[in-house]
Amino acid sequence: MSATAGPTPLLRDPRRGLVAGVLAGLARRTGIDAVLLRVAFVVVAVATGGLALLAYLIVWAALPAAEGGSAPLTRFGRVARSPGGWRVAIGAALLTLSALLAFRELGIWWSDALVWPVVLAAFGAALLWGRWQRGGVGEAEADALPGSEAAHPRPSPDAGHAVSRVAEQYSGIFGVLLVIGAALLFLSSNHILGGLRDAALTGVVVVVAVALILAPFLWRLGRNLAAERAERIRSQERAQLAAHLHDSVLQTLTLMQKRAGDPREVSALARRQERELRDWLAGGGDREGAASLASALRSAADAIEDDHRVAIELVIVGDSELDAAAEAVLGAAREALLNAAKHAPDSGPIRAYAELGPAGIELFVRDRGSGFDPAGVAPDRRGVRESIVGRMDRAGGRAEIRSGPDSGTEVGLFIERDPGSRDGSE
Amino acid sequence: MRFDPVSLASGAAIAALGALLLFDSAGTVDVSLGWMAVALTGAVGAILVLSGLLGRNGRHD
Repeated sequence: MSATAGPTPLLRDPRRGLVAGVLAGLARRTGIDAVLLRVAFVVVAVATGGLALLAYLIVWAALPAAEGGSAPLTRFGRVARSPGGWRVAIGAALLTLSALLAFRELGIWWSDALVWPVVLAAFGAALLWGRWQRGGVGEAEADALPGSEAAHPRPSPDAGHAVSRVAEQYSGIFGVLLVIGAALLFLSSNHILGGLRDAALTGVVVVVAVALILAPFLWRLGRNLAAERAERIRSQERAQLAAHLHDSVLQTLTLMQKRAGDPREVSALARRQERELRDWLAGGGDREGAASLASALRSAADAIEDDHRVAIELVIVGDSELDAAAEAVLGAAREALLNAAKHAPDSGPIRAYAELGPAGIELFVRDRGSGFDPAGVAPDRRGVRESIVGRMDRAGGRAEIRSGPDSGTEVGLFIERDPGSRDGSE
Repeated sequence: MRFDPVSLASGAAIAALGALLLFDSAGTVDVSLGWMAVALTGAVGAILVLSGLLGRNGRHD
């Protein structure tokens, strides 16, 4: 046998094994002949009334295979911690209970006073072991400290994660209770509890006294840990803020210094940065992949500002989903902004105001350019006639254009919504 | 119509339990309380495990 005891870890060897490779792995690890181990195992199994079979099962579950991969118990632990894993865990517990009850009915049984406490203790120990392996005991304790939840808000606040968090926090406590219950059940079943009652009472009194003595210290320790965690989180937030300011504001300021000779471009850069910063402060984040009319309008205004080097002052009240009616308003508004940018680029900022709500949308685009006569627009010019007025008509809304020489232009877009038929097409 | 293995297995398990009770009532088989507990816990456990494992793939969660 080439394998000798030493640094070789204990692994199952299913390729050389007869059943699951536990004894083959043990033989490889210890250097003892596998046949000898199997004979010894059969003898022990008979002598213990089958108890060794249970031990075999436990070792199989706990050992990873030599070919690679994790132990069945570890894989089960991963499944049990995944979303929906509580069903797997409870289901496995029920299947185990079913198997035990079947053994009991078949007479392959040792004693109620032994098996049930062992089963309870095994489940409790498994819970505690899993909790300890994840390194979560300290975290759970810290979470239980006063103020720690407020200081450490967690992501993904959906119901599934909340349930997982609760299960995570209480699995350790439940494991402890299971082990204690198993011990009490064992003692009670074997009529040992009566004799131990006085000693147990003494122990409880001592524990309570020590807890009372140490309580202030533990409380202060807990508060210090919570404060330290809160300070760490504040420090991370400061670092994030600094990184964002560096990536956005400082870069824009540098760009503005380089383009100081072009006031229009500097103004556009400043306004775009201002909007981005306001969005970020309001928690809007990036506007990539706009899903609402408000964000789509902002994106359109940004794009026109960048393309035409004009300033657009956009004020939006409320928001709306980007359905067919909103798409029509968006298209018409974009055309109105584009016209203003093209025909009144040097007449001050273009102003746009939008009220978005479930009952309807109102949007105004105003510039202080030289204006035009809406009735005098040539028939072949389709910008205002089709892209604004026609588009709004087809969507069931209307567009009003007020313009005159030297009085600027105001385009008003109006559409009312029927809450029951939002899917009207343009 | 979408094939739902969890519903199918759950239905089969419940039907099997029902058949067991039926045979017991008819006197064809004599099912003790202990064996009924075995069947019940086994069926519920199997359904939960199956549901949890398939739910991990996003089909039931």
